[in-house]
Amino acid sequence: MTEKELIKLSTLPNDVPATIREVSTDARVSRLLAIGLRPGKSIIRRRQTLSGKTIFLEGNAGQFGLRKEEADLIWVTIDPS
Amino acid sequence: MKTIALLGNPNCGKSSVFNLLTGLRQHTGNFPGVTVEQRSGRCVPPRGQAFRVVDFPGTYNLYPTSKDEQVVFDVLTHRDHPDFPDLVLYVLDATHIDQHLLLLSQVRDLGLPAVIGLNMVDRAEKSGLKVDIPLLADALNLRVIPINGQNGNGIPDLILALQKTLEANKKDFYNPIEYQPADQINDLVHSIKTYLPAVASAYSALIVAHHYATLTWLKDDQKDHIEDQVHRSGFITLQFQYEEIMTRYNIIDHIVNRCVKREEIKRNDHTRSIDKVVTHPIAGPMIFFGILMVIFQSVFAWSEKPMEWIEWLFNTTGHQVRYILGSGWLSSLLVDGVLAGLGGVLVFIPQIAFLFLLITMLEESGYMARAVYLFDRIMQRFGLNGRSLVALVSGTACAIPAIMSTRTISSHRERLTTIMVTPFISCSARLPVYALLVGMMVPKGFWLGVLSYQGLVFTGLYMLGGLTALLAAIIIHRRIKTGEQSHLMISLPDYQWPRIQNVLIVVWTKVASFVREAGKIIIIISVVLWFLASFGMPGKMDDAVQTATAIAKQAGMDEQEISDRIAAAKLEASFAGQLGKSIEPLIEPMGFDWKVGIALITSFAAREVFVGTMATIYSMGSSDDDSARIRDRMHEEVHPVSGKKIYNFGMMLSLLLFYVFAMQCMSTLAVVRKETGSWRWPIIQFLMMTGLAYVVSLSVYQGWLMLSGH
Repeated sequence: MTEKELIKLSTLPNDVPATIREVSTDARVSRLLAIGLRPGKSIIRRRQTLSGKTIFLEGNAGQFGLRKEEADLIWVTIDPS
Repeated sequence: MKTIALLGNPNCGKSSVFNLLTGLRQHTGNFPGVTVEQRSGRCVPPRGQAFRVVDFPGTYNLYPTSKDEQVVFDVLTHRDHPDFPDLVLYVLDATHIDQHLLLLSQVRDLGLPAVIGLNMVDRAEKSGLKVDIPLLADALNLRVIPINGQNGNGIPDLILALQKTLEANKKDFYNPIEYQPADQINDLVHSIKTYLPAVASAYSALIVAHHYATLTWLKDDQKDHIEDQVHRSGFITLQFQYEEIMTRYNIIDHIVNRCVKREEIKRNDHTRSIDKVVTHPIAGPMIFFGILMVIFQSVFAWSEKPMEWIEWLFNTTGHQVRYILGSGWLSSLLVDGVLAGLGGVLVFIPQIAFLFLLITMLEESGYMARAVYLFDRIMQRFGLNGRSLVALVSGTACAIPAIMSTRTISSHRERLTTIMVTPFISCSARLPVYALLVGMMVPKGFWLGVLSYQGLVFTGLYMLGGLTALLAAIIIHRRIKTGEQSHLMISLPDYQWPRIQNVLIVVWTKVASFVREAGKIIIIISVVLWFLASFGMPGKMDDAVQTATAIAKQAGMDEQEISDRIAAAKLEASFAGQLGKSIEPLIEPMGFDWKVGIALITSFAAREVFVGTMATIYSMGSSDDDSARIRDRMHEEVHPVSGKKIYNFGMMLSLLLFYVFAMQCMSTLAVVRKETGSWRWPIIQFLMMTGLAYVVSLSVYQGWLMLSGH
């Protein structure tokens, strides 16, 4: 995984700062954008539930809970350390 | 009276502002034509005319993901709607200003004048954000009033700004600079606007193009017409949603960069530290169950005394009414019908109030959103939602507040599934029935010297109810067809102390709603039941009384025993008794006789009536705390022909399981009717639960007969 590589938010390791680059056009897109998960915004995946299917995130716009399939719609790049 | 729409994102502090504006001059109902809750109230300024404030569901934008959110565009795009506002009061959270300006920009493009209540300014400053309010007002061409929803600061200024804006020319405050639809859809927008004169602006027409299929105010032929136009124009809704939102964010970012100074961003460490623990994959669920256990215990412990007071109040009132009116049908109707029915419902008020008090405090603190995150996946496997867990656990106290708490579930399908299965959870009304039957069936004693046998059976009954609720959810979820997509995508608010005024107002409105809705139905049912149990075919009641009196006197019974014997004979001869006998062929295969039949009929209004009815039938009067004596009499009961004991193990297990599964609560059915907006769902629920109860009881009793050789 390199800094410029576009990866799904669901595959981002915990506690690694990243920036949202794209949000796939899906029926859920307007909701994701509206809650603040939009291109250009910083995001950190903090943890997940025991099943690994629900993800806890922190970003500029606060804290979020997303299902894995919802996080699959968001593409990020890892921020330079 | 002019109408002000209170709008904003979820968790922006809108409810606090609504409560500060209206106080207790508010009421809860539904938006016309839909089952989405509407809170509205009157704001009475110190000077000038009062205005009506309608609290709309919190939403992130005008592309809704739930019925709650749909109401916002449904009302705001239709000028003839009864709740169409004269003005919008937009509550803007200063800590998330860019994200929250998105909805405002859409609302303004609908052609509505607005005033901004800029909330949480102090918190924004603490986190390093300094809002230049005059500059923001200038950039948006709107009045921006800093307010504090926690302590009420700025509310008088806000009311003044609302009054001034209402009095001013609407156009002075309307400057739709935000978004122009792309050229390629101009024709579509124009043709919709021409076709629907009630559509206020070009942007409203665009919203209609997106949502025509779900708009409640459009007729079918209008929907067909718009669908045709949309298809011909090559309009792709998702693509335009994306482009519109990103275009708006570009404009918003520009405004925010000018008006908000960002000093060094100070993260909310308080929220972060708490989240580390409460959203931990292992500790998180344990903490949640710990909190629920505390709530559950508190609800029972705190409610005990107030429930006793309510019972005492109704008993005393009943005695007084009997004393004043003497014995007679009117006194019996009022005491045994109306007061008994009302008392049976109102006695649950303390449980409901304490449950809502604690759950609202958890909601207000921001914790409940974390519980949703933690349990969403597990509940999803059963066709439910993270929030369903709260309703299911609350159902152990009472299904009524539990069902009312499902309003927080955004997916209609998941909410409906939760409503349908919640009554399977063993509620407090089942406790007296369990206590009576388990006491008869299970010997006292301890397993391994620690765990009581009876306690284990109690636990098993609760687990059985919970397991059935989850299994039923899987089936019901598959049967409910809806185009709505389930999602989580939840924004988790920062933690804050609950505002006591908000909490108390919520408790008050929920309790008032419960009393209004469930109360009027239970009165009707109680009166009908009273009639059936008090009257019989002409002559039969008198004959029964004479016979019972003669037998009792011959047996040398005392006055109380004679009175009990007469009550039992009258019950047998009454319409209810006849009904019990008439259903005997139906219930006999389950091991029940006509006496149990009467108790089944009377307890269909409320389960706890079972014990009182059995007490009357077995000549004990109707005192609920005589369960030990009722137990003895029931144990002694033998079949008149075979001479075998009626209350054998198979029959008691069958009866117990019937009470685990059957829907025997009119108040719950009334609340389900209210929450779903139709009789269809309570009828299905009644048939499903009672049908299951019948099949299980029948199978268990017949199985026991075969195995035991009876």
